[in-house]
Amino acid sequence: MQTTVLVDAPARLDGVNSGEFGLLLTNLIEAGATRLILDLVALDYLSSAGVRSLLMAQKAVEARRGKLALLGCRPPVREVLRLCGLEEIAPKFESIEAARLALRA
Amino acid sequence: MEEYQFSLSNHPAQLEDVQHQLQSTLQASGVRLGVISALNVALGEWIENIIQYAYADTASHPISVTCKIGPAELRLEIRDDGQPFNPCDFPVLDMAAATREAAQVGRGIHLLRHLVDRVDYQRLGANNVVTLSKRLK
Repeated sequence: MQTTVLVDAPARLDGVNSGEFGLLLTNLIEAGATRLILDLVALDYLSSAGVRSLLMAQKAVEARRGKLALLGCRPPVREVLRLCGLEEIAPKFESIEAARLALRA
Repeated sequence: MEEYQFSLSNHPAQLEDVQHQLQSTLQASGVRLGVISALNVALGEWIENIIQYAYADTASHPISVTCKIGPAELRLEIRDDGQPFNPCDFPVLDMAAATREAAQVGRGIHLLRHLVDRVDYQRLGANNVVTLSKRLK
């Protein structure tokens, strides 16, 4: 049985906290959380360091044939992902139910 | 032309505070939210770059930010006393590698270039002066 884990992102992901956040995600994934929902509702500042932590998580999930979903991705965050060529890093959902359903499929 | 000054040192924890001050200033001046968030990320990328790479020592160094709001354009002038580095000379990001490799370097400079309309660099004495310009209309 695969576990779905929901993780709340902080309001900022920058050079100060992204390393720690990325490590938290990869530790969870390595511990078996291969269906990961990242709640980005609070996130309104994403820097390149934050992008790196999200991409690390996506790669870790992919390596374990898991699935990653993003919840509540706000316009400034979408714009940074788009400029980094990572608009499609993971499917985006507006409700937790929709994200859960998609990860089960 | 409105002009505002902000200052910090090369300590990463001070960046967020300056960004909040800039955000409040720009909001009070009626600048659109999309412009504010783009400038804030661009400013953050450049200052994080300074903090990470500009200094050969571990001493505290001043960084100043001057914000000039004109009728058609907004400029952020960022001055540091670190080693010379011109972001305009930095190679274009290899997008294929950057979407494949989490650790790919250059994503910050790439964001900086694309979030504003123009990036200018000058070496003035012992200082790097980078000016980020964004059209308001």
